[in-house]
Amino acid sequence: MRTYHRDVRLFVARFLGNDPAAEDVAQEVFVQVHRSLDQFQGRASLKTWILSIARHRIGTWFRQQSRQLRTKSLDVEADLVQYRWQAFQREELAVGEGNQSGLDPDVELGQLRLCLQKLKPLQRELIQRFYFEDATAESISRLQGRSAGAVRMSLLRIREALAKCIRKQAAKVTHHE
Amino acid sequence: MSDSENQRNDAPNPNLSSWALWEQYTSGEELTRKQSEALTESLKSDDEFRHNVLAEQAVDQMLRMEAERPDQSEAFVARVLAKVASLETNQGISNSTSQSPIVKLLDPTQLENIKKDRQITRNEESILRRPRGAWLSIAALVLVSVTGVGYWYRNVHREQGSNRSIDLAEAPKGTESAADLTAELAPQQPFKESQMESVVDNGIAKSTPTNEPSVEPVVNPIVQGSNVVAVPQQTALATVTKAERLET
Repeated sequence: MRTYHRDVRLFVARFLGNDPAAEDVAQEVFVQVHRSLDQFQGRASLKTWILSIARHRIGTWFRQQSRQLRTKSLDVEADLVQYRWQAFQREELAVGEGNQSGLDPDVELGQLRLCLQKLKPLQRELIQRFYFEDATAESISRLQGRSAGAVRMSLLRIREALAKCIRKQAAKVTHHE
Repeated sequence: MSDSENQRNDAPNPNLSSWALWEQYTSGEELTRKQSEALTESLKSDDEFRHNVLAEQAVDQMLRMEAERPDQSEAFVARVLAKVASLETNQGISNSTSQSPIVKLLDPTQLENIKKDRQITRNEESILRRPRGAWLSIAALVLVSVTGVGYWYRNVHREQGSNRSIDLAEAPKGTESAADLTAELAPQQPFKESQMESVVDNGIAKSTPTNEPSVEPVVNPIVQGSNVVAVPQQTALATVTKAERLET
């Protein structure tokens, strides 16, 4: 589990984003792994098998959420769940057709590191402080003499840029393959 | 990332209002009804914005994962193990014959060998779960085998003991048992000195028994055919004659 928990959590986060349920879903994947150990026949690698369980669990979660959200008034969160589910279904369709559109979580993490190196020093410093030093947007804003909202907006745009960079890297990998 | 890309990132975003609303929403600030509707509309109608929002959230999670400390990873592992343990407790799973699945979850090398491990465990369990009757049958079979072998060994040993006085090289031919042979043999007396003397006195052999100790052992009975007889005098004589010839 220590070997694969990052892969599973990254895989879940790819579809659930920063939904608070992502952690629970990742935990449930390993509980399911524990329950289904007898069914592992070694045909695929253990990682592939665990990620297929994760895929199944994510689908189940989306279906449950969809049923629950139908009864609630539509809001941004409900819309996001729907959009995430659509993205997941597109991915499922691609996998079903034999086109592995999703990258290996480990590879994706490697691409993120590569893209971090390409950031401007100020952007990298911001990422370093916020993510690696547990600084808050407020504390950074005090240091930089900016508003917390401006810091959050900068972080948001850096993440957007990183996402584009990762997508480009993935396209390169697919092209080479 | 190239400078042109960085400049583009710093440049005013055409969907700034959407991103500003999104930033406000993700930072936990309360959105007014109008703002909420505007954001909902942007997500619905602007495919690129929606796609970027989802990608941005995924990157946020990746960065958090990349920055995660070992103790935070351990906390996740601990939470899963607690969940599995509570599940086992609830289901009353206690398998003392095989290794705990929690240990398997922790050790990736063991996870890789799950299939093999499981097969071995099943074999072991099938042996352990054999019915009691089967164990009793096996024990009875072993007991009978040991008794049989013991009986056979005792018989063979007895036969060897009774035949000890018989020259096995000239074992009796026929159906007479060793006991019968012994009984028949018993009245026979060893070749007496007087007999030897009489042989000498008859002039057939000149040498005395004391000088020819090779004659003495002829006292052993010789089994001929189905009868056991004492050494006949002629045989003794022949022996002596042979010894005499050798001397000459």
